[in-house]
Amino acid sequence: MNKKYEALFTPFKIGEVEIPNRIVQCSMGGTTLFGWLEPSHFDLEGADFLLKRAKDGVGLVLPGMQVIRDTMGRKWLDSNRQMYRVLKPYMDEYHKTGGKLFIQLAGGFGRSMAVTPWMAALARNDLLNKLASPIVDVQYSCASASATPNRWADNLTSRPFTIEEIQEMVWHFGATAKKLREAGVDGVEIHAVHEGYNLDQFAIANMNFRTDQYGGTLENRLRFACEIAQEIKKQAGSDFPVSLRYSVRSCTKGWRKGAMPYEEFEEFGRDMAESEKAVKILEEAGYDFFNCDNGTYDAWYWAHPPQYMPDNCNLADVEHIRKFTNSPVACAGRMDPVKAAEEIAAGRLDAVAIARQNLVDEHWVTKIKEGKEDTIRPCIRCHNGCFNFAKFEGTENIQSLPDSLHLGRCALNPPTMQHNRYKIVPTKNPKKVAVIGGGIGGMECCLVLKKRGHNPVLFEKTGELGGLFLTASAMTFKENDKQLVEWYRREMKEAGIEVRLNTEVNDLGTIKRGFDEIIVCTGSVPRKMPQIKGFEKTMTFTELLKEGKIADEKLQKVVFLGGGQSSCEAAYDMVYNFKKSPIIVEYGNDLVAAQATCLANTSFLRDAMEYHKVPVYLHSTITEIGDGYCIIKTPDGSFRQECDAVVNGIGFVPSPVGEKAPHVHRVGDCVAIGNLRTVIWRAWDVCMRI
Amino acid sequence: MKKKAKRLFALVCVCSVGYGVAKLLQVESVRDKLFEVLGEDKYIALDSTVRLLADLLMWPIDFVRALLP
Repeated sequence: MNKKYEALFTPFKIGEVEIPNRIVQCSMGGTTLFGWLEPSHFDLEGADFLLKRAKDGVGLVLPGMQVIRDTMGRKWLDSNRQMYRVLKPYMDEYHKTGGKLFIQLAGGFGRSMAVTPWMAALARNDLLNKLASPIVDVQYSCASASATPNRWADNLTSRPFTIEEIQEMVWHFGATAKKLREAGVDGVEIHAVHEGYNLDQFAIANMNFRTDQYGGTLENRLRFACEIAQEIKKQAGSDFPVSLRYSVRSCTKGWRKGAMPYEEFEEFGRDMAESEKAVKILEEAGYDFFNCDNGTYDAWYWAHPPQYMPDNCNLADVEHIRKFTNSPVACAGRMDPVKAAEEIAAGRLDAVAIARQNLVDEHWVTKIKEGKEDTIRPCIRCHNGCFNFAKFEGTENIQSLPDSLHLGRCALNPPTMQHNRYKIVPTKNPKKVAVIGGGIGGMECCLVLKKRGHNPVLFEKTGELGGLFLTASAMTFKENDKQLVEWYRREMKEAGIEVRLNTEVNDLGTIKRGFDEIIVCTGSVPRKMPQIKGFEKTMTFTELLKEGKIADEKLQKVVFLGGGQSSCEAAYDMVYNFKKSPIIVEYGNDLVAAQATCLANTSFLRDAMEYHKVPVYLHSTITEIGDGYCIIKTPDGSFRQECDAVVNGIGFVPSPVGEKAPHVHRVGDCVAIGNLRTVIWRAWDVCMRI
Repeated sequence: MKKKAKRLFALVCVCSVGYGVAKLLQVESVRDKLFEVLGEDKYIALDSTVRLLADLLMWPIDFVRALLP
C-alpha cells in the first residue's frame, strides 16, 4: 500500500465501539437493509450489497436511510419481529468481516419529501389523503416543524407535527434502536440535523415557527433531536453508540435557493456561529459521533456534490466544527482519500465518509490497500442511476416509478444493487463479435463480452477511443469523466481486446462473414434545424469543447441555442473558468428540463446561471443566424443579439449504421438518445444474451 | 359455495401459473431464447415490465408478512 493512505487504515472509536479503519460508507438512499419506501422487510439485495462493502474493507457501513415509520403501510420500524429475527444471523455473518454497521434512522422528510404528481394530488386534498391514509398518508410524510412550502411541489404546504406525534416518534426511535442492538447491530445514526430533512427543519429558525417547547430558542429547536438520542440511550443502553448525520452549514439563501461554493451570502438556514453552539448541545444530549457535510434540499449540491462542485467541498467547515466537540468527526462530500488521509494523520479529522464511489467500484478499498488505485473505476457524480430525483419549473418530482423503487443503483456499474439482474455468466458458445464504434457503449460491450468468454473486435473510425464522451468530458471541471475514459482505455488494453482504430464501417455486409454477431454502437450526431435561417453557421459542442474553441480569444460572446444539460455545463465552464459571456436561448420553461437528471445537478446549473448573471431567455428561440449576430425571438418580441458564435445545443439524433437484422444488435445513443446509464445498462442487457 | 370454490380454484390456478412463469423466466437458457425470439428491444421492455410488476406485488406481501407473529 502507498504510504499516503496509511492513516486511513488505523482504528478509531465511536463511544466504546472500535471501528477497524477510518473509512465510513455514507448512507445512500436505496441501499437499505429494510427496504426504501415500501413496507419494511429484510431486503436481500441491500444486505448483499452491504456485506460486500464490509468484505472490501469499509470500516463502518451505514445502510441507506430508514424512516422510523414506513411511508407505505405506515407501520413503525420496530413492529416487524420477523425482520429482526432474520437480521440476527446476518449480523453474525457481517461481523466475520471485522467491519461495523450502524443503521441510519430518520424522522422523515417533511417539506423535503420528493412528492410525485400523484402524491402531491393526495397531499393537497384532505378527503383523498384521509381515504388513502391507511396505506399512505402523504400529509403525514410531509409534516414538518411548521407550515412550510414543499421543496418539490408548488402550492403544497407541510402541516406541523403535533406534540403527541413528536413524542410518539421519539419513543419509536428508542424501541427500534433496542431491537437493532438485540439483533447485533453496532450502533445507530440519526439522520437528524442534516440536509434539511424533517428533524433539520425543526432545527432551522427560518423553517420552525413553533411557539411550544420545540420552537423558538436553539435549545428548543434541537429538543426533538436531543430527545431521540436520550430515548435511545434509555431503551438501548447508555453504551450503545449514537451517531448524528449533521450539516455544519445549510449554505442556503432561501426557499429553493442554494449558494455557490465561492459565494458570499446571508445564510437562510444554519450558519457557522449557530452550528458551533449546536454541536455542543447535541453532544451533551448523547451523540457520540458527528458525520458531517453541508447543505439542505434547497442547496442540494452541497450534500450530493456533482462534478461542478470542488473536491473536499465541505472539509474546511467540518474541520472547523470539530474544534467545538470532543466526539470524533467524519467529513463527507467529494472527499479525496489522499487528502482525507493527510487530514487524519494531521489530527484535523477522525474519519472520511465516502458514498457513491462504493456503488461504482466494489473493490476500491482493496485496490487502495494493494497499491492498485489506478485501476479504480471513478464515480462521475452523475446521479443518473443512484439518485435521479428530477424536477424543473412547474413540476413535482418526475422520477420514474422503477427508479423511485430502486435508488442506489449505478449508471456505470449495472450489477450494483441488482446483482441478480446483471451478472457475468460465462458463455458455453464463444462467438466472434464485431463491435462498431469505440465510445463508452462500444467499450462496455467489449468488456462484458470478453468477461463472458467471447472474442470481441472493436472498430473505431477515429484514431482514439472515447467517442462523443470525449467532447462531454472536455470541460474544465470534468476531471472524473476524463479519468473514466482513461479507465476504459486501460481496461480494454488489459483485457487484450483487439481494437482497429481509423477503421470506419459503413456497410455491415463487409464484415458480416467474419463474425457471428455484430453490435452497432455508432452513437449520435447533432440535430439540425434547417428552418432556422443561417443554421449551417452554428458551432457544434465538439468544435467548442474538444477542439478547444472555448479558449479562443476571438470567442467572447456565445449564444447557446437550447438550454439542456450540455449547454448549461458548457456555459458554466465558459463563464466560470474562461471568464466569457454566454447567453442561453431555451424553447421550454426552464433550463435542463429533463426527467433523468438529478435535481442536485440541475439546481447547481440553474443557481450558477443566476449567480453569474448569464442571460437566459426561456420560451424563446433563434430565428436567424448571421455573421456576428443572431435574431432571438422571445414572448415579448424579437431582437438582434451581437455574438461571436451560436452553439447548436438542440440535442442529438441517433446515427445507426446498417439495417436491423438477425445477429445485428444496437446499443447506446444509436438506439435512442440517453445518458451513460442507458448506454451502459443496454450494453449489459444485450451482451449478457449473446 | 360451489361458486366460491370455483373462484378460489381459479385464483390458485392463476397464482400457480404466475409463479411458474416467474420461475421459468429466471432460467438463463429461457431468457436467452426469449431474447432471440423477441429481439433486444421487446425483450428489454418485457423484462423491465415484469420486474416492475414483481416489485409492486411485493408491497402487499411484505405488509402481510410484517403482521405475522
